[in-house]
Amino acid sequence: MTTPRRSIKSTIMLGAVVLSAGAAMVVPSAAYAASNSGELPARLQRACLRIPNLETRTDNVIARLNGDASTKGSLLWLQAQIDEATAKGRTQLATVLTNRLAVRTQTLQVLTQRQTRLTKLADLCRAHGVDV
Amino acid sequence: MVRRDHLRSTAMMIATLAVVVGLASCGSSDAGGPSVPSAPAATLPATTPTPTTTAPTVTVPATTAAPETTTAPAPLATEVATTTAGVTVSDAEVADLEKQLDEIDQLLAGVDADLSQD
Repeated sequence: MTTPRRSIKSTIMLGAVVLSAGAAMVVPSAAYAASNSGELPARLQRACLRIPNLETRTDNVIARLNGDASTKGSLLWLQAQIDEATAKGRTQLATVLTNRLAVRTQTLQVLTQRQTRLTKLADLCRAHGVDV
Repeated sequence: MVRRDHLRSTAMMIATLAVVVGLASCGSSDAGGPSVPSAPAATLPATTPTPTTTAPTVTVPATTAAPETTTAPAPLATEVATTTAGVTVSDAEVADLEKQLDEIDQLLAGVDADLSQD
């Protein structure tokens, strides 16, 4: 036979079970949503805001490498240095500069690809509502 | 009789505790969100052959590297959020973007160092 006291006790325990189960499910979900809603857009915005400066730097380096023989560091300038070293019989220096020119020529190619990629990434950011 | 009731009540409390602990552990395992596999590398940097002389070396990513993808392949389960434009962005997408920008940053730093030797 069930006494009223036992019935109250059982009801309280059932209530505790239901409340605890609900809390166990709701609290982690709330934490997940909170971490989700704030962090990702902020990270996206931060990353996107890096793009303009990288574009400027890339453009400047490409312009320098493509510069004429009077632009220090350009491919033509480096070729002129090689010619001069060769003319003076400084073969080791000429070899060093030739190797450097080979690397730099390749660098220019890679930078051009990265320039295109940066444009695409900027478009991606704009599509996500970040003004770059 | 009272002793029996007491035992039953204790058993019920233990069962309740077990259920609560079980549910809590299930819930908390999801708290950090599903694990996200990192996006595949967009490019595979390769070092150019080292010159035989003392010419400076610059790490240049291979020109024939991976395609110019700007979005990562959609992972099976990922953290997502909606941006101000109402577009959904995933953790993998942002990670891929950050990685690509880091790579370009490093490349530019290498080029600057190379140019400073002239």
